[in-house]
This record gives sequence, structure tokens and C-alpha cells, in this order.
Amino acid sequence: MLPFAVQIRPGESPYRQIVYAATKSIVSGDLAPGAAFPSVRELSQALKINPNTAQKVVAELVRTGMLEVYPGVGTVVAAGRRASAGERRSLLSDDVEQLVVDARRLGLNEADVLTAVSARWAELFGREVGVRAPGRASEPPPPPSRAHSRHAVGERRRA
Amino acid sequence: MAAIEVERLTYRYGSVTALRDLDFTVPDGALYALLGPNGSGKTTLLQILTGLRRARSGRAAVLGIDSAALSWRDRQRIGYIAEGQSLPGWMRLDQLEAYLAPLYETWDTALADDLRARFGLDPSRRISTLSRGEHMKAALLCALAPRPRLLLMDEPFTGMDAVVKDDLVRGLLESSGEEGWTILLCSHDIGELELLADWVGFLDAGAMRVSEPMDAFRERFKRVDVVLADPAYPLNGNVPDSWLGLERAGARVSFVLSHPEDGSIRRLVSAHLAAASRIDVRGASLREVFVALARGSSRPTDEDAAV
Amino acid sequence: MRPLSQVGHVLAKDVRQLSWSLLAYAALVALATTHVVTWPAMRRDIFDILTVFVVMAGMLVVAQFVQADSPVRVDALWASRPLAPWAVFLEKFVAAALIILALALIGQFIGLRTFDVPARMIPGLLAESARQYGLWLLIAMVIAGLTADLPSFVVALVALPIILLVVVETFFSSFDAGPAGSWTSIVLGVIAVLGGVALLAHVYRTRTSRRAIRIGAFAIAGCAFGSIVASWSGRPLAVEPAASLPHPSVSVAIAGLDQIASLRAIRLVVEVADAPESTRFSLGSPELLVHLRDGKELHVPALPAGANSIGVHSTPPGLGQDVTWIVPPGAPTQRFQYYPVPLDDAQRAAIAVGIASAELRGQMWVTTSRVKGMFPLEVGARVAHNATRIAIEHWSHSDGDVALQLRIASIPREQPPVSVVMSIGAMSGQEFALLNERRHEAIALAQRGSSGGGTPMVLPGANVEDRELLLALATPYPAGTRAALGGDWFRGARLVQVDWVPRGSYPFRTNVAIP
Repeated sequence: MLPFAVQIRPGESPYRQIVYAATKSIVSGDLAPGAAFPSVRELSQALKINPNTAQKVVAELVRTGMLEVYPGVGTVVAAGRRASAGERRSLLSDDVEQLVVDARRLGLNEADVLTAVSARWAELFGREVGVRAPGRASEPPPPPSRAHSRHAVGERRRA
Repeated sequence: MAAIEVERLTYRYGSVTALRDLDFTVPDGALYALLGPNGSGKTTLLQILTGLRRARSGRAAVLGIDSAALSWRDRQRIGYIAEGQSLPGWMRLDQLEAYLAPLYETWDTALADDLRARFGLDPSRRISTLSRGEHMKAALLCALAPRPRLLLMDEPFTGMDAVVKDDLVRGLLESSGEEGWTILLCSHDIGELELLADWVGFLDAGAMRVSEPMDAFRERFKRVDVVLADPAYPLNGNVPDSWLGLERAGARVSFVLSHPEDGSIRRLVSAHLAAASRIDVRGASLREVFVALARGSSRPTDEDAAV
Repeated sequence: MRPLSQVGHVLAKDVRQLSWSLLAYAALVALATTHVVTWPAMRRDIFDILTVFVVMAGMLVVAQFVQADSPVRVDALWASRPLAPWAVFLEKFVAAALIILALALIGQFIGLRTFDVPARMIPGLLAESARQYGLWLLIAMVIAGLTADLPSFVVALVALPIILLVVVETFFSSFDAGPAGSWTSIVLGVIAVLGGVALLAHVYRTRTSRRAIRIGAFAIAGCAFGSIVASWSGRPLAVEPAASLPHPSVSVAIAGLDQIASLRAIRLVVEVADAPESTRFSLGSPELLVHLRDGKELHVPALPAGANSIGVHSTPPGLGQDVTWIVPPGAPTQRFQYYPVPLDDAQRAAIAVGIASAELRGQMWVTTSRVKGMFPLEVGARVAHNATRIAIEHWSHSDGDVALQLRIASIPREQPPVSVVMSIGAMSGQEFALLNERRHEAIALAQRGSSGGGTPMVLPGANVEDRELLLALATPYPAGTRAALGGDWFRGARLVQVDWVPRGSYPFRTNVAIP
């Protein structure tokens, strides 16, 4: 088992999917700085992928600074590496594209999409200090302490 | 030097042509998945590569040596697994290992022990009492322990349950050592090969229709979903042969397509289907691609339509 | 692993794989050997066929060895492993020779020893057995190499006798082989062995089996079988040069010309002088050359009806110096022997013209007696001596006769070619007598009945002549001797087995006196 969640779907490059999943996991803090990252061998075994692909994944993660290699120790999650807002936004790019395409298909426009997003955000996490204007990086939010479920939100409401 | 080189290889069983003018190459260090429907000639090809059969015309070479001229020393570096190749049923597994190990200079006993434990094989069992999955594991153990430079596998996953397939893949990955090796793996289903292979080939009716790196192949094929404005729009004659595995239900049309070098798929589709109201393009799973390729070849049209 | 070590490595595997087959085969060999050793205990008719089973079992086992690493099966494990094809091929021959052939040869050797075969004869006999059995095994190996499994091997083997019958009919329909037979046997054997080894080596190396190879396999099997069959027609006889043979003076006359019309035959009267002791003479292919008065010549085969030769002169066997024959073999040697020569109408008409002169020609065969063995005269005696075993089952003597019933099994030393046997006729073979050495007296015995025949031992190549003999006096007691022979005489007597052995022959020609 791997310390980060990844589900490889057919039809897309496994390399991209794994890099994406690992980056997401590291940026979100699920994989803490200094934590051990699986070796190429372990990655290959766990996901049953070609070792070359695993090798490329690790190389890419090292290149983007997500991982650091210490001789004698192995590969660990880079400490002190902060993902910029731009980088974090790019992690969402696939989801955003899907959202936009589906919205368009349903005949909605950009404003509809933004309204829907704001409404859902409020439902799940409550009103936060303003909606920042796009373009300005926001601070990374504290790790969510509440479960992201309607049920919990419901409880909160009722409380 | 390529690990496997095949040039204009032809093989006939009487009046049946199993391989016709076959050309392909497996680069050194690749894990090559050779796919193809049953009866496409994969088993014959592997038998020729191992030197079990001799082709009358054409050339086949492994590790730079002509397959028909393989010496016993060369075979120390070549592993071969096939369902047709029977392990001696009367032997126990430990006897089989004791028989084979001295024949190889590079037999790695530690690896053999490790694989045996991983596969859960009892060395005191007679091979004739092993289940199908256990038999394949034993065969794989015997093929991997000598740390071959070239491994030829003919349908190792066929008929195996999911757990066994998992074990086999892990065993294979476990055995890749420091020195590189090349693997040619034949199957009629893509299955676990989708993630394992870095080269892919498609053998159909004795000829190679595709042979390229897996990444490129994956990028090349897309699944196209089209919604027609007019559900009754006639397709016949409007659709080029390069659209594979075409299926239609009412207004919805779906097919697999190789990405054209020039221009986008959307434009190409619109050019043929003016009545398309929506065109979705996404990555095709390799299983979809191969089914489409196999189906596509059964049409009575030009086989050499560039795919 | 070096190829030479691979031979031993694969051999160990094969032995382990086929251990049950080998055990069954060894048990069969042991049974056949026991049959020979405990002679005459085991029932004849059933167990005489054991040799056939040994050979067939050996062929089956060797086929299993070959097919354990088949050269033609695509799924053969050895072919995709680092095993040198020539090592695997060599291992099959080693197994055939060192295990299958050797086991049976050991049994054969034990059998030969129970016959008290002289040590100097044993290597030759074993070599012949090894040769014949080896050829059978070679046939099996070649066919097994080209078939995929045991059932198809058996099927191919069944097709073989048909081919072999063709071979036998084509090449061996003439009965006599003589020296030619021996050469044929050797040449065919060499072709078979070389061809078989080459074919198997080729198949192991190329792992293909085209039609040409299959045809070659049957041709090789045919040669092997031909080699075996050719040796059955007898080996050439070691003969003395004609000059060293005794040439007695033989005078021949024609009689009965006046009765020629009624008898439809003339008679030859033969008288022999200066013939040595213990030697017999027989004229083979005798021909009467008649010069008629009108200048014409007539050739008449001078054979009495039903005979193959003329027994010119017969003497008792030599049993030692000064031995008196109380009961001589056959009628006392007459000074004159009469032979009727049948004539057909044309020949009689020609002779009626008148005979100017005549000659008798033929090939004179000389046989001499050799004492093969002497055995105690006791019921239940079982003795093995000089390649002969005798078991005396019944023995009695009375006023009028002597009765002896015995089982005798012997390994014939030399099997002369058939033509020679026919030329010599009754002048060769074995005879028996009772000899009282202290009194230097002998009684000749004749066979009243015999049954049995030749059977092989554990392996073919050393045939055993196994007969049940009933012996009695050769001629009736001469007047006056009956009383002299009492229990004393017989108690001091032994049974003597004598062989009449051909020494050689010379062309014979003599003028025939015309009345």
C-alpha cells in the first residue's frame, strides 16, 4: 500500500495520473514533509506498473521539488517546499476543465458556474472572510478539522 | 543491438499461413506486450524465436543470435514460458529446481526461494497435482531464477484468476535485477499489460499492424463520442475506414480513432459528419483500442488502412 | 554445466522418471534368467516365449527413454533449456547400452554359465546377442524419436512388420545364405547402425521430421531387421582345405539295367575302401553323367527319392581306443551299398539306346565324430557340461531292450548353412551311446522319438536346442550278448553324446562300371 491515494484510470497516461496524485497528496499535506516516499521498486510493485514509469514519476517529482533524494536514506518528501497558489490551482486544472465543459454542455454560462461554486463552498465550509478577488494568492487554509460532509454541516447548523 | 529482430518471417502449417512476411523489432530493455486475437500467430512466433520451430523464409534473431542457431549456452540467457510447454508432471517442484539449476550459471537460489515463498508454492508437491495457477507460477519461477536477459512469455495470464495474475505480476516485477532485461509478453487481452508494458504490438492474422512505444500509442488513440443533430442521419459511405469499432445508437455515435498528424480530431469529425451537434474526445482505454482494431480488421476492406 | 556432465545429469533424471518401467523390465529379465537357470523346471510352452517379451519390453523401455526428451515434440522441455542436443542424444544411447542392454546381457551371461559354455565361446555368444538385441533397440529408438508419445510409437511399430515382411520376401526368399548371408548380415547391420545414429543425431539437432526422414527411418529399420534375419540362416562353416581331407577309394557300378522297365530305376552299387575310422562320407548334389552309344549325353540326378545326398560310407563314432561295439550303430557297414536312381520315360528311352560310359560326380562331404560330453547314467541326474545340459528322466534296461528318456538342452556351436546341412544329411548331427570305459565296450543308441525345438535364452543370439529324447538300442542285441550284460555292466556305464561335425568337402568324380 502507498502512503498516498491514487486510482489509475484507463485511457490516460499512468505517469501523469501518479504524478498528479502524489503532488496533490504532498501539497495538501496528507503526505507530510520529511515523510518517506516509496522507492521506485515499491511504487512499481504496489501499482503494478513498469519500473521505468515509476522511475519517471520519481524523477519528475524530484524535478518539481516535491521530493528530495538523500543518499543512504532514500527519497523523502521535501521539507519547506511550499507550493505556490499558481501550482496549487494547476492541480485543479483537470477538474476545472471538466466543470466548465459540462456547464457549457448544459447551457450554463460563467456566472452560473461561479454562483454554483460559491453556493457549494458556503454549504460545506461556511462563509469565510470574503471572497477574494481572483488573481491574488490566498494563504493556504488550515487543514480542515471538520469532516467534509453534509451531515456534519447539518449538525453544525443545528448546533 | 535490439533484443529481438524479425525480418520477413513467414511460417506455414501446410496450407495455413500463420505468419506472413512479419517484420518487427523489440528494443533492448523493453517490456513488450504483443497482443492479438487467438490464432493470430503469437504462439508460432514465440516458438520460432526460441528455436523450437524453424521458419523456411525470413529471419528471426534473439540477443543478436539467429534463432535457428541458438546454442545451449545461449539458452542460459533466454527464458521461455508457454502453456504448451509442459513441466514434467512426475517431478516434485524441488526436484525440478534441482534438475534445472545446475544447467544455468546464473541461477539465483535466493531469488528462487523468494519467489517460491511469494507464490506460496510447496516444494514437495508433485507438479501434476498443481492447479493451473500454481503450474504457471512454478513455470515462471523456473524461468526467472536464472535471471535471463530475455524472457519470452506466451499467454501467461490466460485462464488465471485475479489473485494469481496479481502474484505473477508482482513476481515478475520482483525479479527485475540490476542488469536490464527484455521481456516479450504475448496475450490476447491487454489486462495488466496496460500498466506494465512500455512497448506494444498488435499481431493480426500473421502480420504486425502496430508496433510502437506504449506512451505514443496511448496518446495516439482517442475515443470519440458524437451526438448527431439528426438521429436518422445515414452513416453509410460517410465514414472513413480509419474510424475503428464504430457503434451507433440513435443519435449517438462512438468510435476509436488514431490522431491525425495534421489538425484536430474535432475538425476531422466535423468534416465527415456535418450533422454532429456535439463531439467529445477523450483518451481510449487500450482494451477499447484493441477490440476496435480487431473488429476493424474483420471488415472486408483494405487491411493496410493506416491505423 | 558442461555437455558431458549433462549426459549424466539427464540420465539420472530419466532413471528416476522411468524407475517403475526399469523395475518391471528387470523383473522380466530376472524371470527369463530364472527360467533358463532352473531348467527343466519351468513349463516349456509358456515360458519359452519369454525372450520375445524381454525384447519387446526392452524396446518399450528404450522408447520411453527417448520420448522422455523427445526430439520432435514442440513442447519438449529440454529444447528450450540450456541442454546440448548432442548430450541428450548421447544420453539415450548410453541408457540403451548401459542399462537396458546390459541388464539383459547379464541375464544371458548367467544363462550361458549354467550351460557350462566354455569361457572362450562366451564373448562371441554375448556379442551376437548384443548385436541382435542392440539392433532391435535401435529400431525402437529410431521410431520413438520420430513419434510424439508411446501410443503412436506402438502404432508405428505395428506398421513395421508389414515393411519387414516385404524385406524378408525380397531379399531372403532363397533359403541358403552361407558366407553371403554372413556378409549380408554384417553390411546391413553396419548400414542400420550408422544410419540410425546419424538420423537420430540429425533429428535431435534440427528438431524437424520431414517425410524424407520418416522414410529413412523405415529403411533403417528394414536394414536392421534384415541384418538380424540374415544371421538366422546360419554362419559360414569353418572347413579344412580339401587336400587335408581323407580321400578313400570309391568304386561305383551300375546294376539293374535289365529291370529298368519294371523298376523305373537303375541301381548304383558303391564300394568304399581305405576309409579311416570315425569318419563318414556323404555325396551332395550327386549327378550321373551318362555317355550314350549314339554320342549323346544324359545328366541324371543320382538321388534316391526323397533324399538330398547319398550316404557313401558310415562308421561308428570314435569313443576311444580299443572300444568294442557290442551293439553297433546301424546295420554293420556293408561292403556294398545300393542306391536306386529313379528315371523318367525320356531318360529310360535314352538309356535303352545303350550306354557307352558313365561318370558319377558330386561334392563329397567328410564328417568326423567328436565326443561332446559324458554323463552319469542315473535317473534324476542333472548335469551341465560343455554347453549341454542333460536331465535324465527315465532309464531302464531289460532282456530285450534299453529305454532312456531324457531332456537335453544344448547350445549349438556352429549352425552350418542350410545347404551344407542338406548335403550332409544323416551323416551329421548328434548320436548317443552307452560306454563302459573299464571294459572298453559300447552300446549304440538310436532316437525312437524326439520332441521339442530351438528356443532362445534370455536374449536372441544363442539358441538352445531343447529336446525330449527317447533312446533305445540302435540295433537288436546280437545273439549271445544278452546274457553277458547285467546290472554290473550298466552300473559302470556312462551316457555318451557324440556330435558328427563336417570337416570339409572336395569335388568327387569317378567312372562308373557298366555291366
